[in-house]
Amino acid sequence: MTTISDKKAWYQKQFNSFEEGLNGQKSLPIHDLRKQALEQFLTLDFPNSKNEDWKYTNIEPILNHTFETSPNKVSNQVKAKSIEAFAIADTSAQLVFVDGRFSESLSNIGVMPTGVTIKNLSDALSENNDKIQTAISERLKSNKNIFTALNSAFILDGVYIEIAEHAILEKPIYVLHVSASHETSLFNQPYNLITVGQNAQVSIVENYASLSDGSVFINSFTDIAVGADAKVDYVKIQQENTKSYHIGSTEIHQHRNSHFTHRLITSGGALVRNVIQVHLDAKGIESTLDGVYLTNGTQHVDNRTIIHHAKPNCNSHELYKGILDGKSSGVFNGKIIVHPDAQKTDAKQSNKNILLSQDAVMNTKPQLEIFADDVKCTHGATIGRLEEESLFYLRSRGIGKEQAKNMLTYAFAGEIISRVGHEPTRTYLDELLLDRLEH
Amino acid sequence: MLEIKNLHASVNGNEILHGVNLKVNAGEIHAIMGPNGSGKSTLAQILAGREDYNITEGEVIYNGKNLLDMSPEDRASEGVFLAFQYPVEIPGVNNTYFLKTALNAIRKYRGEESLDAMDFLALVKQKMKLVEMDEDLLKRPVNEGFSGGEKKRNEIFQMAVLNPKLSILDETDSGLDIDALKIVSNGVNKLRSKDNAAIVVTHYQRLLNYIVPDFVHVLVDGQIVKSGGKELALQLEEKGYDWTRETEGAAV
Repeated sequence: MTTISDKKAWYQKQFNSFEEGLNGQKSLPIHDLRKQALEQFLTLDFPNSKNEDWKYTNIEPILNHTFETSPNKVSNQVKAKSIEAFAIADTSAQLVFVDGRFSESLSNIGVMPTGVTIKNLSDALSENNDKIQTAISERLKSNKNIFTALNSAFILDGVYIEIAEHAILEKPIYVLHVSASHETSLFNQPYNLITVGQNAQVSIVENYASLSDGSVFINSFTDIAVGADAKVDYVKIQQENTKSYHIGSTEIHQHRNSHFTHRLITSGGALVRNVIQVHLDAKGIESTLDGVYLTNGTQHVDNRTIIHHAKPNCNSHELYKGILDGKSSGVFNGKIIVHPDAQKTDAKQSNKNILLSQDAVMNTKPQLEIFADDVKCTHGATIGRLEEESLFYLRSRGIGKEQAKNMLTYAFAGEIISRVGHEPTRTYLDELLLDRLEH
Repeated sequence: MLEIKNLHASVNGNEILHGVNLKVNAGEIHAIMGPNGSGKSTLAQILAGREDYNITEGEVIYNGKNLLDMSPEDRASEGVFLAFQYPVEIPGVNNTYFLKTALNAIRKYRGEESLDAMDFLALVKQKMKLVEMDEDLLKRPVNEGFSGGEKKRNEIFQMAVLNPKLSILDETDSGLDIDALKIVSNGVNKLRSKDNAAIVVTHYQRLLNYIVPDFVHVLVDGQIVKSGGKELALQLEEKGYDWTRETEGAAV
């Protein structure tokens, strides 16, 4: 594929075959929105390096690949045994997606407390859920992002979670996405809609992993609404193989006195870009965005956060830590916008990086736009190497150089993982990290 | 056990050690005293394997092996231990985990079995008593937020657990009040045996009231200018380091 129009024609062709497989679902109102999104996709431009937001991330490798849309029906090839390695103990529900499609046999939702609705998006769409339609049509109205349009055009599966007022789900909901296709490179476009009512509480762990060494393109979108006084903890894990591409967008709206945390752990993928946008729409909100990324080889990880402080007395905290080895590269762009009304804002942002090799590259950029006068905003970014002092101290006690390096690297990344509240998830992440450091 | 022969070392082109000679036998404690900037800490760091120094001349033989050819971890495994003047804080690395990893790395090097969690804990509990260390410090990250005294105790505690043949104490007395000094010295004395040796680097005579050396050497401007018995430390205390400079000329 040489020209942009060829590339778009490819996705148009994929849409046609996706549409054919929809059968009766074509008559649902959501399908008009899909077609509208496709139109939008065709009119928008793919970003390139001239676009400030994409200066350091080149999407050519994605565009040059001929990814096919995942079949609309789930493959039954994957057995429970194959996903054991990705199990997290002590969760309230497990939803498993194979190549973007919900697998009922691998999932386990069980009986939920009153006020808790957990289902796959496809089922919610069949029930003509107008919440989804409203969310999508609102988004498309002002959308300028070609990947968002692409996601909406292919909307079919993902998770639908609704926690009613005052409902509390103690244990996390585990959402596991595995890619299993060997021969064909697939793309899938998960869409997650999570609505948490006033004074409700939930935690969600989302994990993307590969079962094969096939190439996959995931273009995900997650919408989260956090009600007044509600508490939501979100963990996203990306451990795909290094032939995978992942563009993820998460949009969070927080209401009065709500608490939200998002923790992002990226160890896999050839090219990964995560955009998290938080809207602090009322007073007294606490919002935390943490991330840790470990890259090697020629991996590229781009993290972008945008926090809108729209109202007074809100606190936001951000800590992103990177460990880059080989010829890998990373980008961090943290934007904080303090709107005129948002007095007494307290926003803290920090991005710390360790380069383990001469060839690894990190680009970091804090971006503060402050339109109020009584605010506290701090930001800092560091790019360094492992401290020689610490390394020598460990070695002088008999610990070999490689192991000493791993201990220090693990300690550096561990700060983020130790913040994850759910113990089995923490253990899972600890093992993921240790395993990653040993290879 | 240790023989330093005509050791010259420089950093960034500046020579700091100008031919140091020293012989340490098993069972002996040697004190190295000297004013600030005389090269005491440089010598201690070089023996432990710090790579920032350039050895331009001379050699160090440790139990028949060329010490300077060995990595810091191999030196530790061969029984060399440096108690740091400024112990390093390592956030995120648990003290117990660190020490267990170190001990088992050394045991592995020596072809010994790893200690399991139970045996390790028993060993640790026994050694903690030596330096009257608070058990809470074990659960914390290495040296993070420790007071000056706690850091120095942690060094001696590590020494007790790793059981080295040659201990090098670099200004272990600095920053210690008299009670902590007694505790730390007491720990060192209890670890003393006919099979191991220690080099005690210090600026002040004070420490040597508690850790009594067999030999005292005076290092000035990168050379040992005077050696003697424990009484030399007292003379230094009385007359100051300038006195060694004067007698240095007379000796030649």
